[in-house]
Amino acid sequence: MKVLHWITMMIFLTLFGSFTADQKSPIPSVDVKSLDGKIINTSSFQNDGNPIIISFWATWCKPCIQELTTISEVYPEWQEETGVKLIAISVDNSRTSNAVLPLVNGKAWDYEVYLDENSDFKRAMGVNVVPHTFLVNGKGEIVWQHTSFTEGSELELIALVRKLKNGEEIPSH
Amino acid sequence: MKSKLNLLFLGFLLSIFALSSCDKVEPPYMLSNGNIISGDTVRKIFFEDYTGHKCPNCPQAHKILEDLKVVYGDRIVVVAIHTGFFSMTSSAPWDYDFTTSDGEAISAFYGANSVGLPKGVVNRKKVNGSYLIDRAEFATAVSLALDSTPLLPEIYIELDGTYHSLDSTISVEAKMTALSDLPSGKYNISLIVTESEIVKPQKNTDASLGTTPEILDYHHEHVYRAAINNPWGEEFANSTISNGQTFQKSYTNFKIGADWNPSQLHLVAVVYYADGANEKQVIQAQQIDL
Amino acid sequence: MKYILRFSLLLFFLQSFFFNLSAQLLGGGEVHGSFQTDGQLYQKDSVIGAESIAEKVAFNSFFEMRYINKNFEAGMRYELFMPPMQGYDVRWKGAGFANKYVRYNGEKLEVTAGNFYEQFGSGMILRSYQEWNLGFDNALNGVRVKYKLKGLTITGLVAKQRFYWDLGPGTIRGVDAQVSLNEVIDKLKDKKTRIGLGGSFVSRYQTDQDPLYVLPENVGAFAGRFEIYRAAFNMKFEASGKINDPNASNNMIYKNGNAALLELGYSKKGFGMTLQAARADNMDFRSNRASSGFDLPISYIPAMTAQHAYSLAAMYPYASQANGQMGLQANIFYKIKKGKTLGGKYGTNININYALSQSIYKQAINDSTYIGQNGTLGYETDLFKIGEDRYYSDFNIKVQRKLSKKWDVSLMFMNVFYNMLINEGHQEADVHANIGIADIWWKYKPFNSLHFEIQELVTQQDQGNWSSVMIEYNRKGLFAAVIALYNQGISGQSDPVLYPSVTTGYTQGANRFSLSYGKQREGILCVGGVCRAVPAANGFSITINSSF
Repeated sequence: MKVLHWITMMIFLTLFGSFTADQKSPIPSVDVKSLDGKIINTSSFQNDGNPIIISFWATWCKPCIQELTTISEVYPEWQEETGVKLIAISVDNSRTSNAVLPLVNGKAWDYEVYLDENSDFKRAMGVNVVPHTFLVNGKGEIVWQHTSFTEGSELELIALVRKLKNGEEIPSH
Repeated sequence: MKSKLNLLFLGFLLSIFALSSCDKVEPPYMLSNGNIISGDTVRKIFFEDYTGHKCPNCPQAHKILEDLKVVYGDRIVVVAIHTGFFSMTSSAPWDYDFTTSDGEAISAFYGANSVGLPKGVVNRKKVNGSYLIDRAEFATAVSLALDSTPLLPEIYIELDGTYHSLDSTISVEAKMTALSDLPSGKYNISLIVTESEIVKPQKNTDASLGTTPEILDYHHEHVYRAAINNPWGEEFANSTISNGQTFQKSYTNFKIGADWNPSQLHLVAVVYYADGANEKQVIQAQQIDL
Repeated sequence: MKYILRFSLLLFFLQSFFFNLSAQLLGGGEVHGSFQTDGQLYQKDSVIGAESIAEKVAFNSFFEMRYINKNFEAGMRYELFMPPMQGYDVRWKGAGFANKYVRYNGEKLEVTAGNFYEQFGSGMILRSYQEWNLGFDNALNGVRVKYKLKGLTITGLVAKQRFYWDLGPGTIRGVDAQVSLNEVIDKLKDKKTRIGLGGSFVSRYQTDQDPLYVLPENVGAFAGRFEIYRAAFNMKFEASGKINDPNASNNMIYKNGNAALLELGYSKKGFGMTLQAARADNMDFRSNRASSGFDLPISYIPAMTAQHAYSLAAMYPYASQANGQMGLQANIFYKIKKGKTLGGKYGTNININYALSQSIYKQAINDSTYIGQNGTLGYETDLFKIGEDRYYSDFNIKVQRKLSKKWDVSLMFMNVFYNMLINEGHQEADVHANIGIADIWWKYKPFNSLHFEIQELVTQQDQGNWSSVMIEYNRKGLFAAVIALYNQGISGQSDPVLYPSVTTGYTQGANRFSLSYGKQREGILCVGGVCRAVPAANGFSITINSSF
């Protein structure tokens, strides 16, 4: 009985996937806070028509730190080649958010970093586990998303960024 | 449009402030209420105090019940049921076993044997969806059960009991008189023996109530000892009950435990709905000393 | 069976409804959502203390959907706990729509009706949030209005709090204002120094029917905050207070409460540090004065300690004491540049963290009253005097270095002190533990890696020493891991216990599936690129995650 329940859920999940696969949507409008205290609306995120990577992370999440550290090593080359910008959204709450600024600077990351202390942006983007990475095209539409980080994920990510830069369509999943 | 929005918003804010006054309380913080209503035909409630000798916060719960007795006198009938993790025995002086199989049967029904203690159950009636309440809710729940209901109970219990020292047995006679009409259904009476003034150790965290972390000579009151007619009692009516109708139940030869002190025993009688929408809910309770 | 049908039908209708509505009636709009289900098959294991359950299998699931069309947004979340997994409160049992809201999201005005989450400042006097994996949700249910001007945001709300499948008895009213001085005052516009100010007021209304105490029906709490940023420096200060609020957690005392937090930071490329000092006194604030534990908190006084991701480092976490604690924390991040002697080829990252938490100083109000006695003002205190009891301390240092293109090594040492009475509520010996961890990645060919994690915890107290070894294989979205956790026990008291487990999973896009089998102790588990909290159990478990 429980298994049945489970299978039904799976079927509907797949159905949803197929229905929503073609949707391209703009970044939701939610306020986040920059590391120097400025309130920024997420719908104003832009990169002069170049792609944007939005990465949800937290100071206590090892794979997140691993992902952002790995990318930081090749980030200058990525920027030069594709003009891509990475926006890192910290979902740390007030217990750990004090460590965000020193960590970002301590690790010498060159990203735009924002705090999402009330998790408004996290909810608006449907993020349940971190790391969760989104790809936004030059028109400001979310075209791809991915959870978790494993070795080589960054190579797949830059391949997709290149496609976007060349104006190619990319599969949404 | 813009100024309208502004006004709306200001209105919203003002209404919040208007509602949000702070209540600063000046001493005395506790009420001293000496106006006790007594008499045989007043409503009395049944309070199950789930407790344990290793439960550090339980003396605070007992203190609340004592304070409530100052307000309500014998209108609160308390039985202390030792249960769960905090009632486990270990090496001396924690080797006395307060638990009973009858008490465990009732405790298990509420799940009181597997939660943090102290917990209480008032008149076997749910409060916010749960039978078990925390000690901070004791006073309010008792007040709701006694102050928000008619003073005259639906059934009046006349209880008579004798201790026979020759063979260490108890005989009991309970007479129930209906003081109003009651709907068709099953009605049970449960008879319980409790004992007071059992001097044994108790864990404690509240310095105002005694030594911490334990009181070696704690006075355990109203300790549930046994059910005379099984844990959930016995049926005395299965029909409609009309005003003035009487019922009688008597029990003899109930043998008391070897270590019980006969001069500190109480008899407790509880009449409750045994089926229907109000199943388990207590109608009236009564207590006498033996 | 009833629930399965109900749930499936519901999903189907919702989905058709939303798509038709968005496509035809409202002219566009988008539907987004996410889904998660965790299931566990329980097998009894008396050695590790794992229990079986009558239902054999437990499920926690949610399905959440949002519809957005220009300025309009509506959403709902269906939750199902049939029955709740072990370690979650049994009051979660059931299924239904737990979260429903509609929102108008204009340029200046935002109005939400239904369920919402909100935080004023750092949350000292109001924070409502959800942690699905911990089974925590104190969502507000009511109306919230936000009004945004240039550099100024004002928030007002009236709501009750979610209490499992019910609502808490108290009504919460709150207002908050946040100002960015640089944007409000033209003169400061281009100044390097940035200043932010904020203030809030929250009040709870709950009727008094207590025959023993004179209780305040309206309890107010207020807070102010100040932030300043200039080049590499930053400073934050936040203070709050609460009027008399006799409640279950403070043993019915009438003392006012207060809390303060000061934070200083300095950081530049390659170096960052923060120093924090915090104090809380009688600040446990709930929407039911009779509640305790995880039930109905309004205020959020966080533990001022690091949150550890390694399982043994997270074994003794500090439980924040909103009713009395004084703490200090220092956090330093430093990157030794590549090419330097200690920096290696790619640079070396160092993180040092120290946290300490003590009791607050308490003194009796007079000779005839005990400290903390119910129905009194409780105690007197001194803001700058530190209490005698140590609640917690944690010193830890982490060093991470990429050795080559293929090898990456992290080492960690931690020393922790854990007060048993304060953190777990029982009178046992306090724990002094030392923990060492080595975390090694071997990326032996593109898209393939092996991950080794070796952890050791040494202590004479509680359950004694622990060891843990993990080997994990990763290939694109696929991962598989073997974990062996071993507890030596304390000779003469407890026997050694081994907790073996295997986990595997697959991720595609934002869909993730994982399956594990074995024994697990309670703790935080991080494998396959994601972290989550897990309760003690034995048997199969499964997790599915999806966002769209």
